Order: sequence, then structure tokens, then C-alpha cells
Amino acid sequence: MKTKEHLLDGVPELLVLRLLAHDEMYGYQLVSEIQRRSKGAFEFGEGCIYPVLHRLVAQRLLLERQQEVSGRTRRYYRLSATGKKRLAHLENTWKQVSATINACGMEVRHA
Amino acid sequence: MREDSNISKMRTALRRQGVWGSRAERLLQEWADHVRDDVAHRVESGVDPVVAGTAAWRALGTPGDLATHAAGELAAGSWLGRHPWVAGLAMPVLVWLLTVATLFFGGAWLGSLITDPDAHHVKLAMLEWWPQVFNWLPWLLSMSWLAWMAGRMPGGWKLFWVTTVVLTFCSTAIHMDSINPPLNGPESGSISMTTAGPGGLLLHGMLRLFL
Repeated sequence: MKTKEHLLDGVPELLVLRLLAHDEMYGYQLVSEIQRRSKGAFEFGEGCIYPVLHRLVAQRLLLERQQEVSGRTRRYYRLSATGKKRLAHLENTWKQVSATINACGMEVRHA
Repeated sequence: MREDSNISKMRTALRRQGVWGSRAERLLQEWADHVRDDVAHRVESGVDPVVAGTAAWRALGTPGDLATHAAGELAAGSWLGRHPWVAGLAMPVLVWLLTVATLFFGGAWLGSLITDPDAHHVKLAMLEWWPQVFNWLPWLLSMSWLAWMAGRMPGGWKLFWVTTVVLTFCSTAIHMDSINPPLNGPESGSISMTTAGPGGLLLHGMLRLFL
């Protein structure tokens, strides 16, 4: 559904920034964490997270470092200073949207 | 073997969306690593390796969906990607115009530098070759810019063809020719600029209208 997609625009970015706010993680770890914390509420192709990560790195919202693990190069991502500002802005926007929906009589439960 | 086949399908899907080169290879590498991690995790929890492999690839997403998503993110990640018509049409035309102006005034300036009568043959060689450079280089440069952009702008094939038509139209509008001096004749030739082709007709009409 197109409407549903538009409604969720920006959510993957918010989730990624929030999860990386305190710890650095690699892609698989990040996907597992989203699934664990959301209890499967978000259904998405797990590979979709990587283009999002690459865009956020290109926008300097995330920093990355590489590390050799079992003969493979693993990329770890963490929030940059710009990313922290962006996260604060997105959280603020999200709260405003929630407040507006609540004001319209539709309850939004925060985790 | 299975991994190679899936990666190959994903590479093809990415290429169809206009994502190739190092960006595509990096995505493919991370997707393959993700699946290896997922398979290892499933096997650890007691799942058969073959079943785990199938489940991990399915969880990663279909090649078509992943490629579409990657193309969208790639476009959103750059200014050029967010303004495809400026990057893909306006800028190649601007590159063409700037190259035409540079070659025209640059050629005249270079010619004026050669004042030594002994270097007259250099001037004649320039006169012979400069129109070819003038007629082709701006088009080649602007098309090179477009080809470079096409590698970075997903789904840009419609734009690619529109720009190709516009640039070809522009490039055929102005035509430069050299007239070499006849043998044993005066020691100077000349260069003429004419309007040509459908683009030229339009340009000619505009010049008559405004000048």
C-alpha cells in the first residue's frame, strides 16, 4: 500500500539512529536488535537496512570503521555529532506527530 | 554455489536499477556477510544448514525489492540524486555551452598568440583541426558527464535518453568549418560558423526573432 509506505517514511532512519545512539553495531547485529526490540512489528527485507546505512554515512550522520573478523571485513557503524542532532530533530518531530494523533482521539502508546 | 547464484541475481537486479560499480559491490559484500551471519546463528540454534541457508536468503529480501530500495536510498543520499533533472539535463547542457564558449574564445586567443611567420604551418594545422574539436568535444564532454551521472543516478534511463536527444539537438545546431588557403595562394585561411540541422533551424529562427 502506497499510503502505508508514505506513513512510514523516515521510520527506518529514526530506528537506526536511535539504536546507534549508544553503541556501535554492524548490519546483522542492528537488524537483530530491531527485530528483538520491535518484537517482529516491522516486517522488512533485512537487506534493506544496508542502503539506509550507506545513505546515512554519505550524509555524515553515521561514522563507520572496518574490522577483520574471521577473515571477513566487518563494518561497524556509530552515530556522528551531526547524527545526534538529526536524531534529536527526528524524535521531536515524531513526538509532535504522536501528540497530534492523540489530540485527534487516536491513542499512541510509547514504548 | 548457491551464494554465487543469489549474489549474481542481486548484481543483475542492482544493475537494472542503475546501481553498479563499487556501490553495488559493497552492498553485495554486506548482504553476503549478513546471510553468513544469519546462517551461523540459525545453525547454532539447531536448524539444518540447508534449511538455514534458504531461510536466511529469504529473510534478506528478494533481489528486485532490495535493488529498488537501494536505488531509492542512493538517490536520496546525494544532492544530484535528489535533483535528477538538474544533474541529468541542465548540467550536461551547461557543460556543452561552456565547452563551446571555451573552445571558441580559447581558439581565437591561441591563434592570436602565434605571430611568428615561421610558425604559420601551426596556425594552418589549428585551422584544419580546430573545427573538428569544436564540433565534437562539447558533445563528447557533456555526454561523458551524463554517463558519469547515469552510474550514480538510479532509474535514470528516461533522463538519459531525453538528455541525449537534447544534447544531440544542441550539438548539431552550430557547425564550424575551416576553409584552407589554396596552394600557392594567400597565407591565411578562414573559419566559418553556420547553423545546421533541425537544431540549427530553431537557433536560426530564434536569432532572427531576437536580433
